[in-house]
Amino acid sequence: MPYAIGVDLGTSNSVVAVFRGGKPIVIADEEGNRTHPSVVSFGHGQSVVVGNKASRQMVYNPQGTVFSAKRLIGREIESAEVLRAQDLVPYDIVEGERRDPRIQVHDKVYSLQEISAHVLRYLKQLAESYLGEPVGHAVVTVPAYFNDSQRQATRDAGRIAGLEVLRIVNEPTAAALAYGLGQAKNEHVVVYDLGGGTFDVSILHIMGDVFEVVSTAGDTFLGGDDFDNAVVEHLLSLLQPEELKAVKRSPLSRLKFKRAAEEAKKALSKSDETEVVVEAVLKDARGGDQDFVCRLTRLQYNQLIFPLVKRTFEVCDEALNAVSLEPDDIAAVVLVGGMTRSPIIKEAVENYFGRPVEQGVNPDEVVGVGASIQASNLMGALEGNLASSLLIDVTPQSLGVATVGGFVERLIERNTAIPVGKTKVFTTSVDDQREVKIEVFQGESRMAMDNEKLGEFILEGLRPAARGEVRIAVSFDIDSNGIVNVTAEDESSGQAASIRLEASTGLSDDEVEDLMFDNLDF
Amino acid sequence: MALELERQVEVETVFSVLDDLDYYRLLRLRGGASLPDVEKAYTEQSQRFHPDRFFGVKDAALLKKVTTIFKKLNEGYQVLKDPELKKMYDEKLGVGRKRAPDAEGEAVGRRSHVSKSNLEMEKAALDAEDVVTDKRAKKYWDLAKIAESNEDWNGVVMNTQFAMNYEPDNPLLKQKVEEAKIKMRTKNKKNKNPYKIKIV
Repeated sequence: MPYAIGVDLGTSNSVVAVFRGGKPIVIADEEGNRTHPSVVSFGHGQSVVVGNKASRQMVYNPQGTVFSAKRLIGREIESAEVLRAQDLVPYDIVEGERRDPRIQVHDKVYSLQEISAHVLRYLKQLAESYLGEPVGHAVVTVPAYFNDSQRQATRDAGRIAGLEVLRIVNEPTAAALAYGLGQAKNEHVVVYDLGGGTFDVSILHIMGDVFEVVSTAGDTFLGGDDFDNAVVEHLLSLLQPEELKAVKRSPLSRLKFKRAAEEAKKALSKSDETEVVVEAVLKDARGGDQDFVCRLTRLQYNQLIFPLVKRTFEVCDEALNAVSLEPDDIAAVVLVGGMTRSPIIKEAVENYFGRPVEQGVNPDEVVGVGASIQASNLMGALEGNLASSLLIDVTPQSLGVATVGGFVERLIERNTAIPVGKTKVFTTSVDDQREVKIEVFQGESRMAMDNEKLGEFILEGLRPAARGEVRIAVSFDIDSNGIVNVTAEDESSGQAASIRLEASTGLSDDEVEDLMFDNLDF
Repeated sequence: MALELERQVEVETVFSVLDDLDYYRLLRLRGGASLPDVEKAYTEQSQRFHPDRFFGVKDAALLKKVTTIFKKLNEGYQVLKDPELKKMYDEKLGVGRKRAPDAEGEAVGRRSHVSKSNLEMEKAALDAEDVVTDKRAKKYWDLAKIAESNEDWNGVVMNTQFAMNYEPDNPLLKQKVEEAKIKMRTKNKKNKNPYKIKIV
């Protein structure tokens, strides 16, 4: 049986694992690192470097080194997240053909799918050299709160990298699978997943080999980067107005501040006070380079990040309330994401749930490990082997269609087990109407404009008839990847049409085909 | 990958009577089932009918049937594990409605109806351990017996499984399925061209 890899494609770091000889194995690079920065560095010419080597390029080649691509993938150029990223990253973000953000490096423009594909290809190669055979299949994880277009874009990235993505799995779900595998538990567990760019919390009911997600909530705007930024903002607030202007103008200086904030964050998880040094970002009276130096205490840091930590517990409340559970009903708390290594976070989580968090789970690797287990489950099913665990996941966001007045009519409620489908009958509103336009939204607001628009489509070629007479049954399906499919059928004629809801910002099949690395030379 | 015949038969059987199954029968539960019973039943049925259990099967029609079954399993589970929804559903079962109460009060999908007297009769049948009493179960049971006399073991399995959808706990039916499966395997070994179900 060929191996399928599990990939945790993170905002800051990625993990690749494979289930081999009855256990999951996390694959290291040649330097022995088990996590790989999701960083792609483009040199002049054809050279592309990924992972730990690329991370080191950041300071030498800030404009050619792309990181945090996951924050941008599958989004619209005008979205708040993209606007915010523009201030934080030294590389250039430009507008693509479909109002999607793209990255410009050395006069070449890349889609986010291509950037992520470089990371995936690198991980695939690491796995291949470890296994000594080619790898063609993968399970890739995404934040539970990723919407349809972000999921589609991630899957397309896999295709570009030469990987058939067997399944897109939600990160917290994968973590729970790794935690509960083979333990024959019957309990509710919470996964608290604070990653580089997103925060997710999922509640699972583990019943033996069956892992049922009962509730999930999240914030795609909240992650470790925000904690760093809170520190950066504080450091910048100590500068003189002239100095601040100079720093903001220089991508390199901004990056140095971000690095210093990361260092300070790490230092304060061990000691009560630290000295922050940002080298050569200021000028002295004679125009020479000068370092920025200040002291930061853990108390100050806690105050800076307090609003962010508080926000994570609002999300926890939301997830528990949705299924009428109390923190007391939870038998185990699994921490995921590098941020949860911070003692402040760990302590706060233990206070909230009133119990110690699970030991023996590596928060950096657990998602990748879970992905490899699911990859092995699915490959096993392909071979007719059924003695494996079963994941039953949910759709984290409600799905609906736009109605008159800018409202949304919900068709599928959040936290519904997937795959799931619902049928709605549309009729014509005027005589001899030949087409109906249908707009599809994902999100929890009653107002269409406050939700994410997944796309729109037009039912054409309706037979001419009096208004209300033509009845079209439109079925909205969410598949096991969390991707939305739509089919429409004329109830009287039986004429049917099937549409994959193309993400408005996504690449077409042809474009993906053209970009596939196997078709290109490197 | 070629799917085992038994699993195909199972899917075809359940799918063909899906609209007639209320949530209790679908999950193979008795009326008074407790929450742990419901959870256990859902776990077991998911292991059989979750689409992931058919991952890689190329037969699109079969996959669609599996997905339809799983969706209804979910629907039933959502209702039966929630005391309030369960109460509403039990009341509605009495007046003849079988699908989950929809938020807008509009049931989606096909509906089927069952009369109150029918329901009572079925409940009585569930309690009878050694005989097949349910009218519809009996119909399939009779077909199974005919199949048996023709040594059509596949027909025995299929019809008995049909019957079991109405009387899931009847030991007689369970035993018959097991017997017929053994016969079917022995026959398949002998026969170079075993009978195959064609799924359209």
